[in-house]
Amino acid sequence: MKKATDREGLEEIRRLSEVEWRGLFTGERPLICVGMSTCGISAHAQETWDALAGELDRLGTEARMMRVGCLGLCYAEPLACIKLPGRPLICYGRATPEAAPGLVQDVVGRGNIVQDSVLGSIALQEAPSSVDQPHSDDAIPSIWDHPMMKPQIRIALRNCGLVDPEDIGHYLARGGYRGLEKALALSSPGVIQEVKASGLRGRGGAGFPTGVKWEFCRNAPGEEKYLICNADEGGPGAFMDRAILEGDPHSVIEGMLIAAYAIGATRGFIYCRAEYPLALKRLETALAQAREAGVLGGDILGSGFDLDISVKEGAGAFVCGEETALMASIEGQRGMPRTRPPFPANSGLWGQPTNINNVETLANLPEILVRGGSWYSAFGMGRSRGTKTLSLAGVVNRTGLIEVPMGMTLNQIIFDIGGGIVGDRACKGVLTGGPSGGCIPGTRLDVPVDYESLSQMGSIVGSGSMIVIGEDTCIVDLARFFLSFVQKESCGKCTPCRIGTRQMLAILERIAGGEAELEDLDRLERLAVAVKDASLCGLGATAPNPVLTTLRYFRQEFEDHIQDRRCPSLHCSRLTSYSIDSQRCKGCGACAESCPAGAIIGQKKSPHRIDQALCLRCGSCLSACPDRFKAISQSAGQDQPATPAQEKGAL
Amino acid sequence: MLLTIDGLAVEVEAGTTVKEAAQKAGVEIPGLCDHPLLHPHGGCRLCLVEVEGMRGYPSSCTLPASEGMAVKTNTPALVELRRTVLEMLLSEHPCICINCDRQGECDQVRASLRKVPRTIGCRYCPADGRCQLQHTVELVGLKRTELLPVGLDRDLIRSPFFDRDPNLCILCGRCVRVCQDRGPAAITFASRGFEAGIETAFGRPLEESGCTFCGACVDVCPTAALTERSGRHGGRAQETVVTVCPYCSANCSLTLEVAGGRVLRAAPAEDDLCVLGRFGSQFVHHPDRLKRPLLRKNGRLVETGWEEALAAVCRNLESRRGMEFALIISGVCSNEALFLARRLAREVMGGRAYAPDLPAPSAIPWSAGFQGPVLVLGDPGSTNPRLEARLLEMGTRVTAVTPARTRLARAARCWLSPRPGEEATVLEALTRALQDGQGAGSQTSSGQAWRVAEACGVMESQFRSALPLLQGACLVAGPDCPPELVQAAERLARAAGGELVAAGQNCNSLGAAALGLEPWDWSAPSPEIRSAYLAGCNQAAGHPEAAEKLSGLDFLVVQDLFLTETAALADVVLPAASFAEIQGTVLSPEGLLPVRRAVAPRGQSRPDWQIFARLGQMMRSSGFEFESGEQVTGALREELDEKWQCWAGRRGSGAAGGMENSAALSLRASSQPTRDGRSGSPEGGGLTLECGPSIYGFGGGTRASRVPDLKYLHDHLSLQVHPLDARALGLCTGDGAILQSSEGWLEVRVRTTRNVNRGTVCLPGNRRWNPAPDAADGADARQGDHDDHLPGWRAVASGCRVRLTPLSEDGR
Ligand SMILES: Cc1cc2nc3c(=O)[nH]c(=O)nc-3n(C[C@H](O)[C@H](O)[C@H](O)COP(=O)(O)O)c2cc1C
Ligand code: SF4
Ligand code: SF4
Ligand code: SF4
Ligand code: FES
Repeated sequence: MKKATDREGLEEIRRLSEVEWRGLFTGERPLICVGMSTCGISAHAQETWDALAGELDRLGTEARMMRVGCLGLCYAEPLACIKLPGRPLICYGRATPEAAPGLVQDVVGRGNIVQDSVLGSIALQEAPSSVDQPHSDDAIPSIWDHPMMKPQIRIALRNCGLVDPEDIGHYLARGGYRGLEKALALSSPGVIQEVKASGLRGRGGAGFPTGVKWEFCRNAPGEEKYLICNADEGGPGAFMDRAILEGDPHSVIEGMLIAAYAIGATRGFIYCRAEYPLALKRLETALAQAREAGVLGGDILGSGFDLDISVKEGAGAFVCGEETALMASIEGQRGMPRTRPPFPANSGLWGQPTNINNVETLANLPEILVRGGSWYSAFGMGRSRGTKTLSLAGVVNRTGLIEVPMGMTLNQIIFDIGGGIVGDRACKGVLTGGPSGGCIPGTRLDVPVDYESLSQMGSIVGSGSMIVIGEDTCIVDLARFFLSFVQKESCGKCTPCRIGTRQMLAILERIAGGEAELEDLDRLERLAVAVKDASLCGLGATAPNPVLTTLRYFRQEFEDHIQDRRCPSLHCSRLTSYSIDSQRCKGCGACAESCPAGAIIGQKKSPHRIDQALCLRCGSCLSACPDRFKAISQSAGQDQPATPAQEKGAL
Repeated sequence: MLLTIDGLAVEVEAGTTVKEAAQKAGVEIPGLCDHPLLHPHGGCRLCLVEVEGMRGYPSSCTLPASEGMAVKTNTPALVELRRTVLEMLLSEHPCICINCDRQGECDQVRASLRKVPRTIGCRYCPADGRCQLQHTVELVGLKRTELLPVGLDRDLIRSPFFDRDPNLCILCGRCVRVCQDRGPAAITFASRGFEAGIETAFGRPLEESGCTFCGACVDVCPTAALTERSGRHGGRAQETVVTVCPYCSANCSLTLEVAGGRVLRAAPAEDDLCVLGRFGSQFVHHPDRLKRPLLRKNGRLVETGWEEALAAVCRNLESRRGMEFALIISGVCSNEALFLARRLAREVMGGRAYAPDLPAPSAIPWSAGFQGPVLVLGDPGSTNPRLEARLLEMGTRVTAVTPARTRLARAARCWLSPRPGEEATVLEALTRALQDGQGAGSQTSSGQAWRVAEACGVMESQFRSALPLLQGACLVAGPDCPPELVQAAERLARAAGGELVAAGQNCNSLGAAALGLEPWDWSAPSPEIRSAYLAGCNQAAGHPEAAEKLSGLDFLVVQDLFLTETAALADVVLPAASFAEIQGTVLSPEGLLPVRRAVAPRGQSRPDWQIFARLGQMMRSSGFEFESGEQVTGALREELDEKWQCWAGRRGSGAAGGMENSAALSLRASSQPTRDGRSGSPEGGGLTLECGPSIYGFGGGTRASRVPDLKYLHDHLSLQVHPLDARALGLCTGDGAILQSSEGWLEVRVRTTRNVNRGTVCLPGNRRWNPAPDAADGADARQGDHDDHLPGWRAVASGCRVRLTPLSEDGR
């Protein structure tokens, strides 16, 4: 590739890339794409790849194979898309290593379509983003008509799963780096104006208007300014940044170029979790290619604007995603947040004005520049404009990564996109925003997902993680789980977060253990409020959210635990009891044998019973009772009301 | 700028924090992580305030005051928040006394309560009464806590001088910040979540983490998490006395805390202290202090009264007047002692008064106000720690010339690191480069200047970059610089139009120089003396020649605090009072400083000046009739002032004289075999031993070795070995080895470093050889038992040939 020194040069490269890109779809060889992001790989996409290649070899068919990123249909991974000459590219789900050879034989060998596993066809060559994906007229429905895809507007995810992330040519062919060209043609204030007009707000969690933040940094006095891309995604359940970095790294690099140009930064850093080796590798590859193409480095496209970007590996702590801790970590110090002011825009990395943006925020920028701020702000609701990526997890039928306009309701997200709850059960609630977020009850799924509405509910949009919970999830345990995560991740700098969360956890443990009193709920609330109000950084300030929201919407369940000593979802084992149905018990003795406490008594061949005072509530008997009898059951509440069998025994 | 705190208007300067502004307005905001000497941290969250127009509750210690701000410190929400946060702190703190129903009733037994090994409540705590957590509880008005105790049971971490009880730590980070500010950064926050704590890197002992034991962390700790061991159960001070540190010439001020006629501890007064100032005063109460005069009778030193001892001195000295008598007194003594000693030596005895610790004669005293560039020689950190600290503050103005990777070398703008022993040659090359005006390319007798430097191990680029930093430079040479290096520095100072500044070894070395004492050097051909009077210097310890010469004298008087190696050779030993027991002055670079009496002299010991005055009187001379120390001070003040003016006049005047002729500048390239002849190869067993100074064995170690933890640190200093030599011997850092010379053997621990040359090993501090097994019979003939006075031990000294053998696993 010849390095582009001006816009014409880049246009030349892009033309060549387009030719090559089109060649992929018009060639005489079959094309096979496999979704090979971390999510795909953990669903054995590498083995699928090997199996596909092996089978092609065996058949003696020459095909072109391509690794792509994540399309977001995680429930159907691994994904393989196959295109035969003259036919559309068809995406197959659940292309497991076992299914792969059959797929090759059927599709490539015989030219069939395996209807069962078809997700849809992808008309790739003319699809810059899903906003204007052509809907298929073929016999095969377009993938964009798939129920999980149809409600989506994919801007940040526009290339994910469609292009080879290790080939800048694909990115260019799909209009990549046009946003940069557009920005360079504008003045820096012009770029800021455009971004302000788009209404884009930080996607890293805080939701601060991006254009405004840039303006602070641009106006701050300082010889040198820095731009940081926050790719430290550390909350459990969030993986959108990883998907973008692995599936479309150039969109982030282009976004950084635009941002750096706007604020006047000359050095960029990408702070990426060390736990994302694939993202790190693809980033390095992409950076090298961008330098080679002339869109990164000195005097970019002859504009006189310089930027170089280096990648820093994260220190492996959740708190390092917090901006001031992140900067300390880049400086080589312990990742510990500091108070603001001074804000990073005035005094950040090494004391210089610094702007820090999230991966997704940055990935949106090229499209905003190309299509204009007003185009972007047409999506959304209220003060929350544009789209947001969400990771959908938990007990929904279709889990995965989606991007929807802000303001879509939880109902739409869970039922239309997610396909409802597994087993058609009721939805107990949704945890939005991960461990820093809150739990919205199943009765309020009419809430739109935007910054204001969720915060009114006591939760946050946060990184965009959505964990749907079903009836069998214990609310006390849920609060405890998320609290213990932040508790362990607290950096230890400030008292409320370090000790307050520990105290809250102790109370939750007492509740789960049946040792709490009702006053403990007030104490819990008082602590939660103090931790929220007094903590130094966002980690502590949001840590009580799961507790506060569950107390708000599920107080009854807490009271059940405390007053009735019962856990309705049978999770807190100390608050449940086991009993033997004397009608079904055949006296085989398997349960008595398995009980470590010797709490089960009874004669062979006659019904057994459990001495509740001795029972440890370990559940061994439940699994020991042969399936054909199913005589043992677990029920909520510490003290099992006396059963007829027991009365009989007492006689 | 003007702002209001709880409605009170207060005017502050920009850069003030809201917490400071409140203090100015007379409103005390609680807070535990904040400290006036440290940059704000914002961790404890007790100082939260509300500010009109600002969201949430910012911490006032980190919030800069701004014009028109309206701050509230006491709203109901804040009171509630503060209480809860404080309750959280207490819930992991062993403070049962706060919840105790019978508070105060245990006062009768409190003193003994405090001696329990574990702190479980305030009354058991060494910080009871001065703990800032207690103060905060009062300030916040917390009466009771209802949170569960959640503290972890962590082990006490012992280190020299002080202990860390992590159970009492509130993680305010003050110790971490102060340690970072002072440079070592030996401790840091570690772990996350509830396990978070303060630790050294990898949890290693402080001794191996770069800690300099300055004690600053102990001083800033708001609780008893860091407590000095020596004062732990000493109770509270009844009286404090501000005086001068008795060790090095940095002359730091310190506060002696006194109770029951004993010095409990030394705390910083105006200046920060180093380990010696902070923890080195324990020698005052060491049981081995000399309490009565000793007189040699039948070959043994036996205790006697002052009259008999002084009479013996008079009798013997009177018959030995003249130039064969020498009085050697060091700058550990006050001006008053030096002044009367000089009078005694010159006017009564007709001999001379010498000092072994004089700074270079041509040098002027160091001044902290010096503004220009600075070139530092040697390692002030091992001789004058606070001087090093002040140099470190000059940061970018400093060029360091030293083979060792010292703290200064690391912080300096430019560091020239010649091979050990080549420093003077590099200075000569710099001198020539400046004189010639040709810069680094200047011709010298052995080639271009930079080539000469390069041959000594200095990179050309560094050599070149040092040159522009030298114009008008102040060259600082510490007591660890050998004379030839000081001479080279003097010539460089002249060429650079700057000046040579020398730091003396002892607290009053400058006084000794000002009073015109003459330099004494055992290795130089010294005047033939037959009798001597040594005060405040243990010359026999570090100089094998000295021990020999001293034991050959006809008559020897030694005046000191302890029965030193030198005192053991004496005919009469006179017990002197220590710095904490006298009233007097020392001369510092900034002028005369008072030394104040904190406790009574130990036993029958007397201030040095009194002993000299009494002797002068007994030898029937006039000029010794002084009633008090002040009178002596009055007598010498004028002389010192005059000398002082003379130095001050020379300061900043630049080049003192013309160029020296270039013959003196003949450069010696390092390839010449002068040095190599002395070093050897490890396999052949021929290594050369060098001894360097160590702060833990300050000077001859007379006082430092009587402070147990200083002695411990001194005795655990490692032998520095070049990595290649170490490899040849199969040794690596941390290994034990036996160092053997013709004089005896020592067990040492090895540290590999390029701070030493191949073929040379370096052992810091003052040590003695263990007698070789075959010569063991003569060994225990140490103190007194021998009539020929020859000591039965040998000091470890520079220049001897040694053999190094690894210790096998089982110890030998
Ligand atoms: C505990 C904590 C963790 C965070 N982790 C992340 C993260 O992993 N990724 C991220 O982009 N922002 C994270 N943030 C938010 C950042 O501090 C910051 O607001 C964001 O990077 C700003 O970028 P944006 O304006 O583009 O959202 C975190 C904040 C907190 C308090
Ligand atoms: S809130 Fe938690 S993570 Fe943030 S500074 Fe405080 S202790 Fe650290
Ligand atoms: S040891 Fe003392 S100074 Fe250091 S963090 Fe703990 S309480 Fe603070
Ligand atoms: S630097 Fe010198 S004067 Fe200061 S405390 Fe240390 S030894 Fe004493
Ligand atoms: S004093 Fe302000 S947070 Fe500790």
